[in-house]
Amino acid sequence: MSNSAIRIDPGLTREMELFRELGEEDAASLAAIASLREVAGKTDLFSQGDAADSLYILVEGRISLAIQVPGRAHAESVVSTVSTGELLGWSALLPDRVWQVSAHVIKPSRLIDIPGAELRQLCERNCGLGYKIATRMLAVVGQRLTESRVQFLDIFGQTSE
Amino acid sequence: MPTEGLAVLLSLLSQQGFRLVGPRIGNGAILYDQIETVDDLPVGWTDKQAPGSYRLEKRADNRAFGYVVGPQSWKKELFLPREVIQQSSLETGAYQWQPVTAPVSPTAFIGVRACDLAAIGIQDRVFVSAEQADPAYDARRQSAFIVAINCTEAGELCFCDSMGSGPRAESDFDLCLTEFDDYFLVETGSEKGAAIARQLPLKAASDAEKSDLSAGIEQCRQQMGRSLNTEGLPELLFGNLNHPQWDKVADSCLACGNCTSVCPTCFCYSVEEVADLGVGAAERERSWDSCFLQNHSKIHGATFQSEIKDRYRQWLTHKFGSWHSQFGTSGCVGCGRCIAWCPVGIDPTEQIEAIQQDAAEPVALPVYRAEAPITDRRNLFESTVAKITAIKAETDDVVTLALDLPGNYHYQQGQFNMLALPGLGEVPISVSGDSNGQIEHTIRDVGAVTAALTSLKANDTLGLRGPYGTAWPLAKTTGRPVTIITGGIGLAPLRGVMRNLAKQIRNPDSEWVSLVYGAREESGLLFRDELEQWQRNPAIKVAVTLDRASPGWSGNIGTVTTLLQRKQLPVDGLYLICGPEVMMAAVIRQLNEAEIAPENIYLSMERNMKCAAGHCGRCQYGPYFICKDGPVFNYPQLDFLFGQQGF
Repeated sequence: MSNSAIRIDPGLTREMELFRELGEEDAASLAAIASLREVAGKTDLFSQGDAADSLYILVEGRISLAIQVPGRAHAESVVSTVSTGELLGWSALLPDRVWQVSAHVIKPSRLIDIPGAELRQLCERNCGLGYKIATRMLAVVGQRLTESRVQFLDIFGQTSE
Repeated sequence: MPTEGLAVLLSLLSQQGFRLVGPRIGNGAILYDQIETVDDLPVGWTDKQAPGSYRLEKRADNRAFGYVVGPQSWKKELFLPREVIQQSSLETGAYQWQPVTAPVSPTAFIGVRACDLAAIGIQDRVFVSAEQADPAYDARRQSAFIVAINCTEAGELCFCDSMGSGPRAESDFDLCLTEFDDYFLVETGSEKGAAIARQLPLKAASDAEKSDLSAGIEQCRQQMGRSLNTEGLPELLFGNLNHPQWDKVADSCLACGNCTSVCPTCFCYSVEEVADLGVGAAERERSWDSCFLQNHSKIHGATFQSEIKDRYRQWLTHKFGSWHSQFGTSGCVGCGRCIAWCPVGIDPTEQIEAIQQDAAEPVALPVYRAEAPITDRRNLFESTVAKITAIKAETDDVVTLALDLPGNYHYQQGQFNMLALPGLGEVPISVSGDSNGQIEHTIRDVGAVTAALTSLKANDTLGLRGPYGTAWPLAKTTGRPVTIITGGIGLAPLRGVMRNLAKQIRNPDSEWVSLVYGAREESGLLFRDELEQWQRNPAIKVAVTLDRASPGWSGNIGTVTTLLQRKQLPVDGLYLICGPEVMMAAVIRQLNEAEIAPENIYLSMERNMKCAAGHCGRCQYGPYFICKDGPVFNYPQLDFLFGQQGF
């Protein structure tokens, strides 16, 4: 993966909704463990089944999330795309820490990379911060779930008689 | 007038060429049927009615009109149960359409009670006073001679007094009779009536006879077996759409539609194509329909009122509620027929009372405003033959037809036409734009008619009438950002708007246009060339999202709402929405959260449309007819109902 880790500019974190919600002190402690990464297009950020080691905030770009479907002609289906300002990688906070999807970088992207192990430690030490992050994750998971349900409904498809 | 005068009246009317229709015993009931003399009338008979029950009984006297009402009403004479409205034929290779107006035999209605007189007045508002008149109904109505009869006795199920429609016939008759044991009081209500009256054996009514009339009417009022408090009823019903009583009534309602058949005001109709096995001629026939039948609200696979509860609620909230917004009157005249002829004896007055006793807050409904009739009185069903000049396959199942139309055809973006093929039917299709004077329709193959339309070839012809309905508010798009949110075929009715905006010189910083468009898959995207063209316009941002990715797709995957969440939603912007209702509902929730004023939101709705003039009743959405009050609505018009299951 072609990327480079850069320390985060506080100006950037202030633009991100998650950091804004946290308040200055918590935001600073989160920024302290995070780094900025730039990833080139047509690369993979992570692959389904691998260890989920980071949570990401997409500062800019577009990333698709795909699930492997063995036996299908194209073996993989994109189920969602993530855009500027959005979070991805909540598997990094789950107990088993395994990516449930693969993340493909569609457009050159910039990400805030928050290492999962350090984030979990931070949350355990600071439950208030942990609660806020967990709530935020829940919103992301809820949004994805709603989206999946609507996609499943096939509302633009032809309904059967 | 002595009792014998009635025979004179009947024979005078016959001599004047009127077909006489009046009460007559048949099938164990008093029917309105063709009669010739007084002997045909149910002299000495009455009817005993109760919920789910109707029995004939002998009277102690020899009155001819001593009954209440039977299962039939005069509706069957004016708005025929079945009628051919159009014929098509193949002439020199092209289909031609001719509206059919059957010859009218002038009919005298003998014994029209005040409630039924009011019911005729209500149907007149539906079929004649509307923007577009129904020619056949109008002709029969104009030629009818009405002999009304005042009620001096009421039945167990009567409540005309509550509905303000009786028991005294006040106007809208040619002659009005009040029957007593040995005489009739006769009143004239028109010049036609007065001319006949001059030939009747009349003498001036005495004061005692006149007071018999008022005493009779008063006695009738006292005898009414039912009553209803109509105060604020429409608003109350629409404020109680989730009242538990709807579930209770649905437990016993069989959805048989008897109530709508016997109701003298129910006007919904269905339209079917009737083709013989040969080539050429086909007829379009309309027949009484009922909102209790599942097909009433069905469009290509969607049934908006699938539960019996939905349908009973539709009927009751329409009859006693939204009718006021549509026609400026209640749809009920208190005749009680629906109670007697309901196989399980459901009584709407009881249903309403149950809701009134435990009611939630009322909601405001749109106020009725009379429509200006179209003055040229063209036949509502008249189709123009349109020739297809070009065809473009947009996707596997969507085709755009360009049609050559007469120069005087004008439409606005958002309106629709009724497109027809003989022997197959007629469907409403939005105009998806125009180019070089050709009017375009983008059609998806979802049923028999659309399958045939999408397989037509250049130079084929089809029938067209329109345009109908409301338009997108193009005037409101200037000087502000515009966000267009569509899904699936919903882009078609908005393509004209996009083209229009793309042609303007708009400031990309303050008047940008954002198109947010969702589709099932890449192969289902409409107008791809134009999407790319718009994308190159500095003032237009095009964002597309798909439910399912195909290999090589590098755009968004996900729902329209997810995509919309990533967009700037300016509070002063204008929002135009068209797509599946579930999508529109989610978008509106999102716009509400973003504190967009509801006045800045417009959406296009879809329901079952058959006539496009607000007559057939199939596209009702609460107080609206989608065909004429819509399809484009400003959101505050709909917010009290939008998202409510079963409408």
